Amino acid sequence: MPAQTRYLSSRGQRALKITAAILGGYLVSASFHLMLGVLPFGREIVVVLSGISFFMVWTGLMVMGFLVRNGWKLWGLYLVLTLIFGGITWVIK
Amino acid sequence: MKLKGFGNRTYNIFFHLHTVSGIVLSVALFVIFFAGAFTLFKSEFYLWENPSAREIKPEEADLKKVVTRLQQALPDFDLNDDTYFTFAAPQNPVIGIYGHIKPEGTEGEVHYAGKMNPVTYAVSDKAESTIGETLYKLHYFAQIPFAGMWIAGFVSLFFIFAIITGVLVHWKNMLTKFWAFSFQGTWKQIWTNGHTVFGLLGLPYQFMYAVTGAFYLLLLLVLLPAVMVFYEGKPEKVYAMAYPMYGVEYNEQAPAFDHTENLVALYREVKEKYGAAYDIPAVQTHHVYKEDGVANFRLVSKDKSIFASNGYIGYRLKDGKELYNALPGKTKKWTYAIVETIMHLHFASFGGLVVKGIYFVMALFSCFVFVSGILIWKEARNNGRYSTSQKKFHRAVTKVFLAICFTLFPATALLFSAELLVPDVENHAFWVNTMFFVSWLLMALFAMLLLWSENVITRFSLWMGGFFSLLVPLVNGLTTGDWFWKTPVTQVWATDIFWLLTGILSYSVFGFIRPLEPRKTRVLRIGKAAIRITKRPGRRPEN
Repeated sequence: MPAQTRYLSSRGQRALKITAAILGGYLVSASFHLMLGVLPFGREIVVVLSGISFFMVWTGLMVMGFLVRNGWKLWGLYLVLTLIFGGITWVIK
Repeated sequence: MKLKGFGNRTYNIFFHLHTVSGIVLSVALFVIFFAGAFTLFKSEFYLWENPSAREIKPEEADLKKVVTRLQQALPDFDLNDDTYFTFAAPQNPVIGIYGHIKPEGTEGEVHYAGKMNPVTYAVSDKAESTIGETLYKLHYFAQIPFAGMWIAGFVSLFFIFAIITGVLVHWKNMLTKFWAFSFQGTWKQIWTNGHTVFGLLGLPYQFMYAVTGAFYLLLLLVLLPAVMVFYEGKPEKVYAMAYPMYGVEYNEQAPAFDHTENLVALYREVKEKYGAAYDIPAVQTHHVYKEDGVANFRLVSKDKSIFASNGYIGYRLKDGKELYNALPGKTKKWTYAIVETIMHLHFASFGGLVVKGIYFVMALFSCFVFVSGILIWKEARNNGRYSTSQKKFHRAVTKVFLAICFTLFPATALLFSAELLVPDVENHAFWVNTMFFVSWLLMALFAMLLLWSENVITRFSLWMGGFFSLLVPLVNGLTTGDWFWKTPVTQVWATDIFWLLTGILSYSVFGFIRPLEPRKTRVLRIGKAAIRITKRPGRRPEN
């Protein structure tokens, strides 16, 4: 049996969620790894391991994003997270 | 034992995400895994695909001859830029040259990849043979200009997505379904069961490939933010974490100096000092004609118990001063080992032929997961919730997808024969590739347009695949005289036997699958010619 459609989003909402998942997920993952790079873990460790973890965080955010009911809120959440992580990076750097 | 499931909404969302990402990726993933499976043995069947190399008995490379003959043959070759020489090995008896061509007085540079005969030192940049190269490129769609690698990269990325959602869908029954093979029930149940069981068994393997594939193809996206923010836009600083030679500093204004003799002496020295414990497969040089020139030797430990067995050691050419020593187990930084581990995992270069064999079988299991996914998608929609035209669309998509996937098998077998059948002309590789891609296209079109069901497409592909597989040892014997029962070269008879067994297996499976008759009489017309595909009377078609 295919998935039951009553649990799925409308067209516009779907577009918002897909863009938030791909673009927003990328921004959050990028800013998150930049933040790890300025925290005292050792930048080399973070940059080399980000070759693996970047994709996991990115796709994890893609999957979880679709559980949020409102696509606008999802975009808002991802942008706020990007700003927080980017802000911490900027302050410590 | 059952794990706690998700709520209805969550479950259905994960299910839908898995369905949509899976059906979109299925064909691309099949092609990547099928071509990649053969690519694992690229260097093993090199002697098969290039008969002229079977005769070469490589001697120890004379680096002086290599450098001088290279410069004679290609006056514009820039030995001051990074140049990578791989030495001839018994399995791959040619010297590989990767560097840059920079015509005098111009700004631009062109990447160069060529080969040198280790006996005559003749340089050639035209491919003498191409099977391994063609399949290698196909496995990341490099034949599609510009876009191919990006497409393959995003296929890898969304493959991670499909794997995660697939695990979430089956979360509740993960433990009970782990080894639950079953061949009972309707086709939909059999496909679903196979998809789940092989998906779960192959989970670590497929997840590893999804991540390492994304690593190789989308690394730019990962490094871009870090390079911009932390490293002033200089990617060399990141590469230096993976390879020590990128950490060496050079002075572009250094005075001219000819290091050819020093390079030869240094190679001899490294061989004497490390030759007992390490293989030396390659050397990378920079500024061969400038005073601060450097040689970086790649050393691979002969100790089988070391996983990250590669190491580098770098010297200034002028005085032989050691710049860094990154040998395994000694002074090698662990960041090098991480990048090397990704390479070993992806290319199966850590455990010899046994590991490669397991990888090959796992790749074919993965292909089964993709195909069964397509079939589930169709069968799950074969019910009253869908209109007749929708069902027709689902069937058409399934046929097109299966036709593309399954005819890759006969086309690959044909590629092997084409290599030896196409004469050694100027555009040899081009014609071999043309035969491969055109035959794939024609067989796929034939299967999707003229064959009436998945059953027939499968039988057609098995028959053609079996035929072309059996052709491979025959063509090798006829064109080169190296019949598999008398050639002393292991790689040659092993490749022949592999295809012989594949052909026999293919025909056995063909005989095992019951044929299905077409639903109704179909007449195919091309101009005045007409082929009638008739239904046998008195038999009800299945499906």
